[in-house]
Amino acid sequence: MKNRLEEIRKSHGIRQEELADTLGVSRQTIGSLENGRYNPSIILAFKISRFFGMPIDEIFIYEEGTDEREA
Amino acid sequence: MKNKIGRFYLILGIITTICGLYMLLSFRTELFLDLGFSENICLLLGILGGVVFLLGCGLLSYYLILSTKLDKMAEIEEKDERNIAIRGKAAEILQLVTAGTNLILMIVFLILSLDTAALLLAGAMLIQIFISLAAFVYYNKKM
Repeated sequence: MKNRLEEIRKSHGIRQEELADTLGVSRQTIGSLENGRYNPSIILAFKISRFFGMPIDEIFIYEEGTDEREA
Repeated sequence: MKNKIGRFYLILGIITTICGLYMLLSFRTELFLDLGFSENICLLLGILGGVVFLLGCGLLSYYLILSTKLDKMAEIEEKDERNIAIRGKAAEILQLVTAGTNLILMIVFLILSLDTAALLLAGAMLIQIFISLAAFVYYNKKM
């Protein structure tokens, strides 16, 4: 699954630490999400989408054939 | 306080404050350190004691200021979903390695004719499998 988290975060002028603090996760989690190394839980995806006021599918892009068990 | 850095500052702060206080008291009353020091050494002890005491107080203040933040960070680290996933994967690998090691050990025990040890190990492995199955059934119903 790809995402536009880094692009959206930077466009809002927010640092990784600030986003992590608000969402209640570690800064490493935000970094891993942005690098595509980790896929978030549905709860975290909702938290992110609500934080930025955008629908989930505008932030996270699901691609057919992606193995969900990865990450 | 779960954070190791916090504990480090706390312990260092307590030790430094006590040392500084001891040196200051020694300088002030000469009751605790009656070694017949010269006036200059006594003055140095007082100045050094003051500096060490202030340093200790500073470290303790630093610990108190940061403790809330560090506690929050430790809580986040513990509840962080990525960390939970990492711990889960590590546990999976550990389970596989443990099962493999137990199997190898059992074969070694059998080769060495240590039947009792092999039997005990087989029993322990059976209990592990039983608990694993019970946990699966429990969470299968719960989720």
